[in-house]
Amino acid sequence: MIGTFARFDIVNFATPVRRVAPALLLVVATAVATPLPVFAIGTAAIVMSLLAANPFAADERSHLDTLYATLPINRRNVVLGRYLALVLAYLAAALIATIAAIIITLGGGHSVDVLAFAAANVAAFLVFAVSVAVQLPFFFSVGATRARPMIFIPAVVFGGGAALASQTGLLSRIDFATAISANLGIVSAAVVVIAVAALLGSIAISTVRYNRRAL
Amino acid sequence: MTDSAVKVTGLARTQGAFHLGPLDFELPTGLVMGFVGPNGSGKTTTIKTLLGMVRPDSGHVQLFDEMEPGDASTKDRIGVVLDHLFVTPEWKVESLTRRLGPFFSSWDPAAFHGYLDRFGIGREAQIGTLSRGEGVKLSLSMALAHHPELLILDEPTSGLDPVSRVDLVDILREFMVDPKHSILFSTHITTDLDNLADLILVIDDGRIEYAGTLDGLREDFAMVHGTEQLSRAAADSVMGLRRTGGRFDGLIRSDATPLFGPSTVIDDATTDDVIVHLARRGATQQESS
Repeated sequence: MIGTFARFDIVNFATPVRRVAPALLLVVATAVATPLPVFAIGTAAIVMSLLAANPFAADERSHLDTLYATLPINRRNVVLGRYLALVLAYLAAALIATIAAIIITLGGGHSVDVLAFAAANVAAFLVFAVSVAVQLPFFFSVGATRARPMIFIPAVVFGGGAALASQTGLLSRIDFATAISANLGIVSAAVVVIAVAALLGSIAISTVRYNRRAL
Repeated sequence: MTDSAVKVTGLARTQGAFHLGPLDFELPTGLVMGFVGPNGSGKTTTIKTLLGMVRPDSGHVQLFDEMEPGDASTKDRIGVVLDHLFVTPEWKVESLTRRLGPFFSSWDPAAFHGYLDRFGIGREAQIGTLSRGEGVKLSLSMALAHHPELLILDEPTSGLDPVSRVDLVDILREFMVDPKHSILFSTHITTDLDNLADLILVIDDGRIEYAGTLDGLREDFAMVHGTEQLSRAAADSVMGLRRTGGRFDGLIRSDATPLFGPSTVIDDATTDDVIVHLARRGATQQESS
């Protein structure tokens, strides 16, 4: 039933196509217009984090929470299905971003740095996972309208963190690219574990909150 | 076959200043229960509790003898029609089988299409373009397409034209041909319940005022009209007492009849009389407090 709900949610999320086309065009445009096409992968993470509120807004607009309450699916599976749908939607966007970035890189006569692409994807997944993990418990708890400020929390956290690191000189003291490239396997595994742990913790909170919510 | 479609015991819930319950009632399998009361009396909150949409502060709801509200297996046996559509307006009618069918163990596309054809709802129509009446008929088609045993209807006839209301009631009568089927039908248009409801539950201000048969309701309540000066006891027994010029009218319980003098006219109460005067009593109590 989790898969059934995820499929239902993805179809709602992605159709009509005009609803998601601007976001995907932005991802591709980033690959084309920025000096480093690999930035498109980060753009995919940010864009999909911002779009995570959309299914909840649609729930409110069309009384879909009432629909879920009448369908033979329990609330825990609604929560799990939505997380699964969002992760799958992100992975699709990341794939499009990666393909676009590779095409632009090769089209520009450059070689593809596989390690850089892999590192970008791992880092972007962490950004997406933490963003979603922070936002979704609020959306499940009170709905998209009342939790609207949460849309900006990930941007504030990551932007603020980056600004703080920059101001304190942390960024200049550590060569992240070299450090990550030298230990890509370990770093990737650690990042994926952190991302998945964040999502699992978030799922647990969302399940409790959604179970308690009056629909 | 289960004995009881719905059994509510000591159900209570507080929402802000509104207190629901404690409610106790039972809908035996094979019967239709009309659930009536004025706006804001607690009908929708009670129905939401039956559907697992809100949790009671205390008390218990059992469906189909021993099943919990909100469980997937319980919901697979219930069809729901509310006073608003709860699907996306941009969807096409035809897409509902593809979108919703996979959730149900026994969604029947042929039955769904049969109801659509019967109601004259175009399969290619966008749901947002449907009229209020068509929306209710679509809701009913969705509710019946998975062959439920229990239909829960919350104000489905509100805002419908008379023809649509008759169509809806006809469908409900057909549904009740199967002895395993039951209906809980919330409405404030009590004429919909004539010749349909076996039982009636009257709720006002969160409390059950009457639970029994429709005939019993007419026996338990009566309307009084007159011009005489009422004794304190008689006046206290009148619910929704209204004085116009030198005349008064109101609702009483039949056992209060001896309190009134010979010049008071006592008539049978209709279901509407009961609801109107209970609501008026509630308003009067709020004003006096």
